[in-house]
Amino acid sequence: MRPAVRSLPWCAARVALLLLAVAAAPLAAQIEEESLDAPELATPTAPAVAPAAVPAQVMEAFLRAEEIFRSPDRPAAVPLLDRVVQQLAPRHEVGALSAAEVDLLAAALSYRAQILHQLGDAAAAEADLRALLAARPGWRLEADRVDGELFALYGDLRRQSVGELELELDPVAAEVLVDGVPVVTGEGPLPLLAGPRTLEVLHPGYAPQALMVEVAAGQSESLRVTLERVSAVIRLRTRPPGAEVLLDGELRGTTAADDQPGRDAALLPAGGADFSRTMVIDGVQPGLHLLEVRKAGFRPYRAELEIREAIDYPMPPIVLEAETGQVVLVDAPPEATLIVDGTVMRPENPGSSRPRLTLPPGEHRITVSAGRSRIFSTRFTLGDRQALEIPVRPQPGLAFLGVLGGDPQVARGLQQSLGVTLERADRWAVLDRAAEARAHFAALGIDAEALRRAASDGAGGPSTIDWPALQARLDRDFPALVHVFAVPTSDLVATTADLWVLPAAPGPARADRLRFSLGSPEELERVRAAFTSTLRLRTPWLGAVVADSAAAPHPVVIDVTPGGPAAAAGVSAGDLVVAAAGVPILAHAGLADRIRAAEAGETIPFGVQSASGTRALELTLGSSPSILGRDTGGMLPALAYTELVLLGERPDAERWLIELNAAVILIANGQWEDAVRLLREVDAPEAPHGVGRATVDYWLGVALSALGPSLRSAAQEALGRAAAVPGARLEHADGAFVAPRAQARLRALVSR
Amino acid sequence: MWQEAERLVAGGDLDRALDSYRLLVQQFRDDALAPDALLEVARLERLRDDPAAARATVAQLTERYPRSPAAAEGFWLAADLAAESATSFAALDEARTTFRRVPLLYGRDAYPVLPARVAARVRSAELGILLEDFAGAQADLLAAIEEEPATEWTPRARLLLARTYLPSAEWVAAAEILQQVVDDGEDPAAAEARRLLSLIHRRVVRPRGGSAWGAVARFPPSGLALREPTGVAADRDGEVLVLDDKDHVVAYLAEDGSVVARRTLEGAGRPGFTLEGEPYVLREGAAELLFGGTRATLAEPGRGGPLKSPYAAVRTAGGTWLVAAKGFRSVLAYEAVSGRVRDDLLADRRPEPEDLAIDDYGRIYVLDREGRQVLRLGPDGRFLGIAARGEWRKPVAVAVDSLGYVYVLDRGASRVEIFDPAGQRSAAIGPEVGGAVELRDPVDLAVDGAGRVFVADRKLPFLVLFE
Repeated sequence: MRPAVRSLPWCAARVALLLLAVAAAPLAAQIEEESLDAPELATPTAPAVAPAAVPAQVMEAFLRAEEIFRSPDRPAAVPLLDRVVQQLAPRHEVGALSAAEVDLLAAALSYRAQILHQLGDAAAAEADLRALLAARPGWRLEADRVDGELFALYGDLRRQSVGELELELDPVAAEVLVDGVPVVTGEGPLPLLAGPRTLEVLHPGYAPQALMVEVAAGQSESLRVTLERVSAVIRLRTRPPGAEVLLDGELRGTTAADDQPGRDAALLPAGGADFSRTMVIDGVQPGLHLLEVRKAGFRPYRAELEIREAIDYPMPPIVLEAETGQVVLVDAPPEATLIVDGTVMRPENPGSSRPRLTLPPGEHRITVSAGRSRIFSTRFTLGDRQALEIPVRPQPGLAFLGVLGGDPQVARGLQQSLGVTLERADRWAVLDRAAEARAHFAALGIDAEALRRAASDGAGGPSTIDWPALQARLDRDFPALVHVFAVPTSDLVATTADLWVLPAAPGPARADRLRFSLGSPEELERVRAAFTSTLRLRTPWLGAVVADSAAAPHPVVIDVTPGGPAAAAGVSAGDLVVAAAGVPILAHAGLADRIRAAEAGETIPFGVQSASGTRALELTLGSSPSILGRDTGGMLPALAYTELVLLGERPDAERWLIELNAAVILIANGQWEDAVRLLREVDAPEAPHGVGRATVDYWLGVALSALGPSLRSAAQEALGRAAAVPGARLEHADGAFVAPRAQARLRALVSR
Repeated sequence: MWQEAERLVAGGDLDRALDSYRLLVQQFRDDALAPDALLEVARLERLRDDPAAARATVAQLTERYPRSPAAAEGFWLAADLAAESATSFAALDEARTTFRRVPLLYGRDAYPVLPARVAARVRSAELGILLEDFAGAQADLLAAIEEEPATEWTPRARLLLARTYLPSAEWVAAAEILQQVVDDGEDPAAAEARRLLSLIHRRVVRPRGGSAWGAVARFPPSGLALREPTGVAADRDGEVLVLDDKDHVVAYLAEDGSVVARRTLEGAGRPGFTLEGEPYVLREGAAELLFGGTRATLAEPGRGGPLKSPYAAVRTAGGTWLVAAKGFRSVLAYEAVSGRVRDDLLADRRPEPEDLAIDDYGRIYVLDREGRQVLRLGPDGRFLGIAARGEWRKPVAVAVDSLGYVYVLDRGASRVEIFDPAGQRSAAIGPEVGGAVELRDPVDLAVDGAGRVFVADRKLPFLVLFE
């Protein structure tokens, strides 16, 4: 707020508007549709001098002085007023002040004169009043605010040095400069310092006129000035402002933002918002002209103007049309959310499987999201008026939250290389959320150091990160199937970093991490591979327990599962396995490798040896459900869990097997309640010799046991059911037996 | 300072390392590393054979930094020290209780990953097995395997779980787990698992296929000629101790028969291995641990003075020596430290103990010459039942393997008989054993961890090895 300034005369000048007659519209096809009938309001002819024209320091000193002037301690304002006068007076003498500065100088002199008068320095006060009149002859003191004696003195001085000029102008809005300084006209006679004065009269489209006048002190003179029309004038406004205006290829200026928007809103399209101030193109001669308005990001406006005579041509408002292209998303899920460059957009044809968006030209990233596992994200470059079809191939969402900590240069490089690596993992829609993620980590008090401490939890530290809170927050703000971020292991010199992977709820509410060396392509490849692995929930089934023995050169068959593939092929307990799939077998590991490499249902040649000799058999491998459990086949459990979620979405999914696997991962993470909820829903088949209902019962019993005494009887029931199936297995039909474990847990429950 | 201490430990300068850690604790009492430093102090004190100081340091650690992971480790260390120095089953049980406090005090909710907790569960299970609490041991082990992230203790936990299946003859379930331990890696647990699998193959699977015995061989294959072998013992790792009565030589042989060490010892009696694998021989008034070991004094009950004719002895997990001696119709139990007779086992049954054996679970086997039976006792000496019974002419030696199979040598019939854990005779061999060898005057037998059976025959210049 600058109340003192508002009282200055030039402020009043700024609202003195002059109505111009509407001139004939130029002939231009593009603008004929616009409202040509709207009367045009012209800008004030007197240049509106903004307060900014006064140097800030001077204005500040003046305002401070004015404040003191209004206090009881007026004399204290003198040093500040001295500074204002010293700054402005020398420039005034050479005619280098703006109108605003002249007004400021006059006000400062007025204040100082009053103070000096009050202090009894009559001579100095009079000197200031004289200087004031020289600067602004029309300046008036207010009788009720100024000492009567001083007021009288000022009146005397004014009568001795100022005369008046009654000006009649044609056109009336013409601008007048006295001795090079703009003055306000139209408010009665123009006060002038007695003596010879240079008068300049200007107006767009007219030839300027300069004349010498001399008004005697205390006298009033009349003068009529008629300017000669010499050219046409074009007046225009643009939306948006900031457009370059060229006439016949010559740049004539740039439209400026309107500092009084809404002033003539009713006269402009769409309420006048965002239009520029009127720009005047002066000196246009009759004839054909090419008007061009251009601004980056907008289609250029061109109009051919036929200027017939030297009059004012107010152009209809020029609305620049933004450059756009169109994107059609082919096969997008109808319920999908469309996010363009981080902003949610509604398609122009909602509900369509080919949603359409109009976008400005340039590079964009579009994300099509229909649930956390059906996200599509791509970058594209769109040209003006281009129609681009983008096929949508939804993928599971991976929110990359960037790099926390580390040397800034290392962090930048790592962020970039990880971003590229994760995108190369191919099967994920990578959503770059690095910029926004920092605030979320900070809000939860999670920083690089805390994560490094969490990484050393392997050494037994209490949990330092509130993973469930982080998971909930990320799920809410960055919906994706998995959230990934990296932390270099040192902020100074890091040679390794941890890649943290946190799945979405209801997945394990604790991140797993993968440590990798920095600066090695092989290591990045390892990271990529971690995100590309796939799970096998059914693997080949041999149907025999085979073990190494120091008493034999080949592994020995300890037991054969009744009705299993080995039994069907004629393998017996006690046989030695000498060959499988054409490869000699010397240890169990070799046999396991051959079976792992085969497919369920595949028939492989099998060589066995017993007391009666060696036999060649054809063994058709069966298929067994696999429970990953703690051993997720080298995958991070967090990623294994997301894999299960994805597998569950396939139409041929064995739901019970996926749910059982997911529950076991939750148990490994200590999420007993989540596991119980899931296991109670699992509809597993009965399996007397393998993984099935009894396996589910066992894990249910384990999870219930962990939840406290109140669930003990439920745990006992579940474990009892599991213990009653002697052939049931824990992880695989060739794996550990359920029954002995269930019995042991039952005994432990009973003895508690 | 921490790094300096670590460097000193790596360089073997434990004293200065200890000083460094102590200084660190004194000067930076509130530093994050202080609990770890205190733990290191306790560890080094233990390494320097100062368990009392280590215990005091652990007490300081758990009192000063009770919520630190180092304190959990401290509890573990205290329990381990207690187990190490236990000389009774009550003391073992107490140590086990301390191990069991670790999971209670440092639960998964607050400490999702805590290796000390896993280690405590496993050690608790180990002691549980020695204390015959298989159910409790299995509960500890299943928690360690199924409810904890995998650690270096996991293979050992699996191995122990498989071992808890053996007394109830759940061979297939045990074999499946053991093979998993073998597949997991080449650590000591894997070697032990391989050994047990070999045993299951030899004792369980092969007899079912009709071929109880593989080859018969001379042992050692070469390099050591025996004149009159009268005693033999074997440990779980396949090492063999043989007594040649003629030359008064005790030879310590590696698994392949090569001589590791030999010692001339007048008046040496039956050799043996403790559960921890220490070789010993019996002498008048003592069980003498060989090759750098100490001797355990055995006093004559009542009268005092050295026990005259001890002819069989085993040392229990609690450190008690159990001895069969001429003239006593019971098993004498000697206190671990004082060497005084603490108890008379089986005094009410009045057996004629001819030989003793101890299995991996600490159970004692007493060969009762007169009763023609083998009595099975719990680790605490409680009578459990008859492990084997036969029409033996002159039973002189008993052995037991890791599966609980009992081996009896009948000198009168020159025969070895094998009984399964349920007491059923599963195999017999002798006097002709194949390989052009005939047992003529067998006097002792032993079985190693992989099920190889060794027989000492006075009239054969080698041990007979049944593969």
